[in-house]
Amino acid sequence: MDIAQQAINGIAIGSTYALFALGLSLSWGILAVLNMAHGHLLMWGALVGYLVSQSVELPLPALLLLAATSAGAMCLAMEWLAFKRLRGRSASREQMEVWTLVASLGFGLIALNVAERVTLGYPRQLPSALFPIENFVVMDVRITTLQIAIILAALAAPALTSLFLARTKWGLALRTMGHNVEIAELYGANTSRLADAALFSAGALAGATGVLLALYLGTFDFTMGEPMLLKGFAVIILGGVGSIWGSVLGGLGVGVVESLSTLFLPGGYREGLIFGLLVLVLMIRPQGLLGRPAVERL
Amino acid sequence: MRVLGLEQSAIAFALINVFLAASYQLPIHGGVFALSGVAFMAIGAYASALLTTRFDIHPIVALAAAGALPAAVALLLSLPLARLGGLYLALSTLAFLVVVETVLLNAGFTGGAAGLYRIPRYVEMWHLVLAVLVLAYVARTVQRSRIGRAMVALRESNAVASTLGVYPALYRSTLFVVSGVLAGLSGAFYAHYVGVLTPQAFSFSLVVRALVMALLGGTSHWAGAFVGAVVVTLLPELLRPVREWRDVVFGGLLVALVLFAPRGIAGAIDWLVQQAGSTLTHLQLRPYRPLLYRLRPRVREVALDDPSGDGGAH
Repeated sequence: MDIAQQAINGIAIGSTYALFALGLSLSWGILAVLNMAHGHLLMWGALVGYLVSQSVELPLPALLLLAATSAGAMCLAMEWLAFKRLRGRSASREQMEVWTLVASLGFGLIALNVAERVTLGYPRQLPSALFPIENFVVMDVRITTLQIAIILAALAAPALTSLFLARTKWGLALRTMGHNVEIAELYGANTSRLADAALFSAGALAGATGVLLALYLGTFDFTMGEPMLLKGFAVIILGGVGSIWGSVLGGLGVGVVESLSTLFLPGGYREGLIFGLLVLVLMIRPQGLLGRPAVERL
Repeated sequence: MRVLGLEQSAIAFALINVFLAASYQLPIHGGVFALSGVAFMAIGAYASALLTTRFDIHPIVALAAAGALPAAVALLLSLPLARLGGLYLALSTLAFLVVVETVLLNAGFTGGAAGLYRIPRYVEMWHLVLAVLVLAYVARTVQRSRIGRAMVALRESNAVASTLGVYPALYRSTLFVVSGVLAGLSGAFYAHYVGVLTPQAFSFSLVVRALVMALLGGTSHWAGAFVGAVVVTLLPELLRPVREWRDVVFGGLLVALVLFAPRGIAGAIDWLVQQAGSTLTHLQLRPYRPLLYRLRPRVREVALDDPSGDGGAH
């Protein structure tokens, strides 16, 4: 039953990876913004949740909304301050991607430093009263209500996103931007507003995930973003950049492999295993498990 | 001992970092966005430290090994990574760093999280100064050679470069391997200067700092890595009053650089020299020709062979 238990735990933690990676994947897939500050946005969400819950008693949905809005606003600020200008002036897409990545590294450092000063470097805890946890035991396998909530969120968010992208006018415009921004503009899409909306949602997803993850793990500290970011990269590359269900599959895959590996491997090798797997996937299927191969034209 | 109001060790770290910064700057200069320098630095550092402490190998041989081992690893890695472009390369080289960190933390021979200590401290200041001078000479010579111009062509366009007789895959793997050598050497210097090695020293935040060095200095000129490494290493010393907000300063600097001076300090100097030169010619001041010629930046020349333009008389 150990294996089943670890698989359930893996699916739960993998669901937070999937939620986190969804925004990362969207901003890279649609806008070519590989946001190195995305992990710190997640931490920022948890931090805002913590700070608010220290002063006012709010129900979890309100707290999630606050965390999501503030992380989304931060992501939007990065877009306005830097990413948008870089997109406007770079000669080639590749050059723009690199400059954007570097700018986001800078923003990440700032967020990290501020959070360190705010938390004074100590681990912090969200009040456990936010989400009263109950256990269900089915055939010796324990699953908590929090785990169920996280898994449901990780299924609902991608489902809504893919419905939005597939069925609405704005979704169509966003997908067009992923191929070619100029073509989207030719068809009358307001690409600047759409980019704002996409980055805001990406940041908001990260922020909300931060609260869920902090609740799930019990504590969080200002360094939680960096390992999460590295895992997010593994997830979107495994799943395929820009592929929504790819990031879900990748997230669950990483989570399950990680938890199952604790049964067979000494704990320290977990990270190395995931990233060894990542290099392997890149060699065999560089477009990811669910991604489409990119065609490069000259 | 203090020099110019700075700790001597700060200056030594700046010189060690020149090699690390160069290992980031060089591939970026050629359009290869690889982030594996810190991983190679760790390999070089541990290799040299283990060889000298466990096997009593002569320091010079250990130094050579610290350059050669990362180069071999880089060569092996470049086989699968050669197909990857742009950010995929960045991410997979980052993944490589995580793998290396995992090994350092868990393998028995690396001493785990406690690391290695009592490493003989062979490295003295003049060694570092000499090494940096040699590196500067080599970097300058290479940038002004056919290889340097080929790298610029590669960065601008792979397709154009290959029509000019530059074989992109070969250049890209060579850049990757050379970056491995530079980082490995910096690792060996670090190990034998500090005397202690821990896996935490080679973390993701060092990658960020190395990137700041390379970009602050400027990736389009060989001197970029030198300027960047010195500024970024010594800046925290000067920022002592605001030490707690150091990363805010760094982060803000990085964003400002990307937005306002994407070619870095070296690029800005290049630009100033160019402006001064054109002002002088504009004013009909006829300066001493050879001097102006020497000051003229030669980075952006397009012709790969025969830069003198004398019609192929070679």
